Amino acid sequence: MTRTRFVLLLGFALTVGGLFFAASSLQAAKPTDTLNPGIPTKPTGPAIEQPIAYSHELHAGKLGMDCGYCHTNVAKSGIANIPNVSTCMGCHTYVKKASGQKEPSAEIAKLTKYYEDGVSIPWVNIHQLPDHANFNHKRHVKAGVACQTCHGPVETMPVVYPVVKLQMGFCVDCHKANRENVKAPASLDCVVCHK
Amino acid sequence: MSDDIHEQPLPLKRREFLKLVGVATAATAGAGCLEFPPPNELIQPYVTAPENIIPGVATYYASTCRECPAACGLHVKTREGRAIKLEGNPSHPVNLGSLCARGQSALQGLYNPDRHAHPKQRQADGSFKEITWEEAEALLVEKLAAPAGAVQFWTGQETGTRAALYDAFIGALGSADRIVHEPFAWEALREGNRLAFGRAEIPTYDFAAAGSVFTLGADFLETWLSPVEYARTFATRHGGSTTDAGRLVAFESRLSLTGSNADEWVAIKPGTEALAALAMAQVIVAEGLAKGSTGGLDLTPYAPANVAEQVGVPAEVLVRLAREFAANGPGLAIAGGVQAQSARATHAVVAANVLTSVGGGLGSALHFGRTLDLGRTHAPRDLAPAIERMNGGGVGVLLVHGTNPAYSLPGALGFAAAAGKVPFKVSFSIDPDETAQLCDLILPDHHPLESWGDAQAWTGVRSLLQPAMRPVFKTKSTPDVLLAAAKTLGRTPGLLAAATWRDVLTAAWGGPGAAWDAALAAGGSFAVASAAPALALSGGLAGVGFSVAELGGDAAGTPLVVYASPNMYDGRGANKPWLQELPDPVTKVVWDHWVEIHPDTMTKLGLKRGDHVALKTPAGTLETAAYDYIGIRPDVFAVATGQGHTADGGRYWKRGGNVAGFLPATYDDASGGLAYVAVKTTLAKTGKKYKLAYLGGDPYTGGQSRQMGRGIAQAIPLTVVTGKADAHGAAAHGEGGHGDPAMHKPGFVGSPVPADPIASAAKEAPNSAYALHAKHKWGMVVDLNSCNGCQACVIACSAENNVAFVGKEQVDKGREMMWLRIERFYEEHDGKLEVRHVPVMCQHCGAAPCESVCPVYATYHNPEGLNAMIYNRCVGTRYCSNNCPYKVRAFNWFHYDFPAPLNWQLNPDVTVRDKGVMEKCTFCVQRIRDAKDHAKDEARNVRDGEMVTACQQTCPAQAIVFGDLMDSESRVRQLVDHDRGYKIFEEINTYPAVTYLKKVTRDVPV
Repeated sequence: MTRTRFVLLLGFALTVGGLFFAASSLQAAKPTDTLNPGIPTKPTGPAIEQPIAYSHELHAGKLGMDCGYCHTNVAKSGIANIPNVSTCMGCHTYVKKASGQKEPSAEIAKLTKYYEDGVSIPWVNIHQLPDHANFNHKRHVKAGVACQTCHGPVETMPVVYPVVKLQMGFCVDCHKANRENVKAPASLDCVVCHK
Repeated sequence: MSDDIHEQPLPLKRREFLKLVGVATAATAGAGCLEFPPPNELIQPYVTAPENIIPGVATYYASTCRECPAACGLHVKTREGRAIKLEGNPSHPVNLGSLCARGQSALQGLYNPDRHAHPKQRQADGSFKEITWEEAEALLVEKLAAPAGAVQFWTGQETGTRAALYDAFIGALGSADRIVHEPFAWEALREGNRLAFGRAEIPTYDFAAAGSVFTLGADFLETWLSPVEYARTFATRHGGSTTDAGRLVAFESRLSLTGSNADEWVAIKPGTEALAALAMAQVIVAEGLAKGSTGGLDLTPYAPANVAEQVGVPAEVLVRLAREFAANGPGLAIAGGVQAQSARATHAVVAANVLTSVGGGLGSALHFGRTLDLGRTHAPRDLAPAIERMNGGGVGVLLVHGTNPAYSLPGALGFAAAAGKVPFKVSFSIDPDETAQLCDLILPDHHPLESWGDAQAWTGVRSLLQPAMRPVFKTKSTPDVLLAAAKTLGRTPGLLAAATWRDVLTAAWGGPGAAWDAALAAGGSFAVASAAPALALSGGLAGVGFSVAELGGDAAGTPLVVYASPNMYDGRGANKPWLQELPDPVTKVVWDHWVEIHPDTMTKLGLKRGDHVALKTPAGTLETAAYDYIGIRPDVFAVATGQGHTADGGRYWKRGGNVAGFLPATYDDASGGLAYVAVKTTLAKTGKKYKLAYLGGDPYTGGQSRQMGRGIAQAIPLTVVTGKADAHGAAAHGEGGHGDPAMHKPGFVGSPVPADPIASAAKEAPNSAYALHAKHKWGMVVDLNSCNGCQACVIACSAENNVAFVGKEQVDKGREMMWLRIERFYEEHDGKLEVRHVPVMCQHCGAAPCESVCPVYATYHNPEGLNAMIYNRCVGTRYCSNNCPYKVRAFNWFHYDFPAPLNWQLNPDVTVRDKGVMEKCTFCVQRIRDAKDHAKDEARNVRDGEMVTACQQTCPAQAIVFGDLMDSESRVRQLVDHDRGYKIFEEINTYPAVTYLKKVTRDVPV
C-alpha cells in the first residue's frame, strides 16, 4: 500500500501547491489604487521566442519610450493592436546597429527584410484571452488601468512573458473592486464580456 | 474461469480507491483550470496599415446595391478589410437607410464559395481548366482580332458609365450588337405609359400621396421596380391610423406578399387586369365621381355588368370598390409585375392609368417629376432576331456579362442551341451559371462590392459603386479587361482611350477633385426633383382595343400564373443559403419550389401536399411539389420564378423546376415583353412522394397559420382608432382572438398590468449596487400596421449575429436557427381572407420563464432588462427552450458550417456558436455596447436613437423602434403607451420588453 499512499500524497501536494501558486499571484499587492492594485512580477508562463528578438527592456525601459509611441491604437480600438511593421521602420530605417556595436544588428536586418518583402511579422501572442470572452482594450486604457496591471513590468523584460493569468477570476476581482468607482464604474454584468 | 480478470482481487480497498479517484479528479481539474494556456495564436500586424484603418474599428464605404435594378444606396461595413454587413445609406433618397432581404444577402454573393475563382478555358473534353489572366486575355484578343463572324455582346440591365463603355467597346469592334436582357424588365410599363401619356418612361409612384392604392398584379412590396422605396412610402400613408390612412386593394389571382397587406383581396382571373380597371373607371365616370379624363375612351362597354364574368368577380364588388376608390382619393392604380405580365400587359397598364386619372391620382400619386431610370432593355420578342443571327452562323464571338439567358429565357427561344453554333463564347459571369457553362472562356468579373461603377436610380439621382474590399478571388474587372483588349487591338476611340476603368468612371463624374471625393463619400450625387408636375392622359386611347389575354396550351387545362419569387427574384438569389432558408413570405416554405393549388382543388384532384406532380405545357414539363394555398383562385395554379437551376457549379441551387425555361415563347402583344401568364397547363401526378419543409410546422392545421384565439397578431378597426369611442372596450381588443370568447372576457386582455419588476426595483432602491447599472431598460416596439412581412429584418439579423443556416432537412425537423421570424396568420371573416404578419424575436421578458429553469445560469436577466445568454456557460439542457412561450430560442444540434469563404462574413463582435449551445436574439447587445462605447468616449450618456438593432436598421417600413424605456423622452417610451399597444401573451405575466402595436383594419364602407 505504500505506493498508493505515495500517489495520494503526491496528488494532494500538487493540488494544494497549484492552488497556492495561483492564489499568490493574484494577491500580490494590497489594493490602494483600485484600478491598479499593484504590478505582479512573477512569471506565470514561459518567455516565448519571437521571430525577432525585440527587447521591451531596451525600448520601453532603457530608452524610455512610451508604450503608446508604438502601440498607437490602444486607446482607439476595442481590440489590442500591435505596431505595423512600418512603425518599426520609422526609426529603423536609420537605426541599423545596436548601441556600441560596429556591425549592423542581425535582428534589425530581419525586420528590414520583413518590411522590404512586404511580409507581416508572425509575432506569437503571449497575452491570449480565453475563448468566448470579449475584452475592450480601449475602455480599460481610458479608464486609467496601467498597461502593467495586466501585462506586468514589460519595460524590464528582454523577452515578454505573462505575469497574469488572463482568466475570469482576475477580471472579476478587479471589476468587483471598482464597482463603485466614481470615475470608471466597472460592471459585473455577464454580457459586458460575453456576447 | 479463475484467470478471468474480473475474478482477481482488487489491489485497493473500496474506500481507498474512492479517495484516490477523488483526489486524482481534483488534481486534474485543478491543474486544468490553473494551467496557463500555451501560446497558440499569432498576432500579425499590417506591414503598412491602409489609411484610416484601425484593427477593431469598423470602416464604412458608400456603394450601391446591384441585386435588382432599383439601385439602393449602401453603407458597406468592413472590419480588417472584409465586408461583414450591408446597411442602407441613410442619405440615399431611394432607400433612406433601409435594405431588403435580397440586398442584405449580396454578401453571400460576394463570399459565395461557388464563384468562379479564376479564369477558365474549356478543354476538348468539355471540362474547364484554370488558366492565367495573361493567357485568358491573350485568347480573348486573339479571337476578337479575327472573329469568324460578327461580335455579339449580351449584358444585363446597366445604367450609367458601364453601359456607355460597353457600347463604346462593341462599337469599336464594328458591331452594334449589344443585347440587353433583364428578365423582369418593364417593356409593358413603358409602352403603356407611352400610350397613356406619350412618355415611354417609368414615372414616380408616390404611395404616400395616395389615399387608395389598387394594385393589379404589381407586387410593389417585393420585386416590382423599387420595393424598398415603395415599402417606405406605402407604410407612411397606409401605416397611419387617421381617417385619411391609405387603403390597398389587390387584384390578383394569386395572393402575393403585397396582396397579403391589402385591405381587400379581389381574386380576378389571370389576364383580366385591364378589364377590371376599366370596369371600375366606368362606375366612377358614370356616377359623376371622376376627377380626371378618360383619354377619349368610351368606357360604357366595360361596365361591370358586361365584364364581371370575364374578370371572375361579381359586378357589385367592382361597383363597391370603384366607389371606395373615388371616395378615398387621390387614387393610384398600378398594373405590372410578373403576375400581370400576360399578352395584354400593356393594356393593363393603360387601363390602370385611366383608373388613376379618374381617381384623381395624376400629378400627385403618379407624376413624371422624376422618372425611374432603369436603362434600355431589349424586349424578349426582339431577342429572336439576335438568336437567329447566332443560329445562322453570322456570329463569330459571343460575349455575355451580367445576364443568364440560358436560364431566364423560354427554352422555346432556343438560346442554348443557338449559342452552340457560335465558334467562340466568352462569359464574364461571377457565378457558374447556365450560360457560363455553355462558354469556351470564362473571365470572371469582380462582384459589385469589389467594383467601381455607377448607376442611375431616378432623374438626378446618380449612385456610385466603390470597392469595399480587395477581390476575394482571382477575378478581374470586366471593364478593365475590355479596355485592355481594345488597346491591344489598337481600337481606342472615345472612352476606350482611358487607362483604367476607374479613370473612365472618374472622368464621367467630372474628373478627380473635391466634387468626386464628396460624391464618393456620399455614395453619389443626389439632386432630387421634388416637384410633381400636373399630368393628364393624352387622347387617342379609343384606338386601344382592350380584351382578355388568351391563354395558349390545352384548352381544357388550368391557367398557370407565374409570379416573381420575393427571395430568388429572377434566379440570382438561388445560390445564397440565406435566401434559400428564408421562408417564402406567404407559404413559409424553405429551400424549395412548389405549385400552389387551392385546397378545394387539391381535394378535387385527389392531391395531398407534397405530392410530386408534372405540369405540362406545349413547351415542356415542369416537375414540382403540390402545395395547398388558401390565397389562390380555385381555377388557377401558380408557380414562382427563380428555382430550378441546372448548372453543376452551384451547391445550393438545384431545386425544383425552372419556370422560365418551360414557358412558351409568347409575348405581350403591344410591347413584346415576355408573357409569363400565357398558358393553360395540365397536371398529372408522377407518383413520387416529396417532402416540403416549412418554417415552424404545418401551415394549415398547426398553430402556425391560425391564431386559435391566442391573440398573437391583434388588430383594431380603423373606426375604433379614429373614433376613440370604444378604445378600451372589447371591440378594441377583440380582433386578436376571432371567434374565441375567452379573448373577450373582461380582464383577460387589456387588464392593467403591474409595472415591470426590474424597473420598479431600480426605482425603489436607487442607491443600491444593483441599481448602479440599472440606468437603462431596453425595449422595443413593433408596429404591425407598418410591418408588411418582407423579412428584410430576418436576413439583417442573421448577418449581424452570425446565425447559421441549417438546410432543408433540419428546418423540417424544426431546427431552424433564425433569431427572428415573421409569423404569418390567416384570418377569415365573412369569407374574406386577411393575412397578418408578426415579427417574433426574443421578447426579453421581465419575468422570463427561460431563466428560472436554466440549471447553470447560462441565461439570466441583466440589469438593463436584457434576457442575456452566456454561451460558454450553456450545457445544452434545452430546458429554457421548452419553457419559452414564444419559441424564440434556437439550439445548435450540430456544428453548422459556413463553407469558406462564406465565413469571411462573420461579425467578429459576436460569438460564433457551436454544437450543443442554445442561442437567441440578444437585442443586438454588441450594438448597444458599441453605442455606449461611443458615448463614453464623448463623456456623455447614450442618446435615444443611437442604439439601433439590425432588424430596426434595415426595416423598409420603419416598423421597429428600439430604445431605453427608462428614458421618458425616448421614442420607444412614447410608443409603449400607445392606444394600440399590446404584448403577446400578456396574460401569462412574462412582462415582455417587446410591445406590438395592433394592425389597423380598414372597415369603412362607402
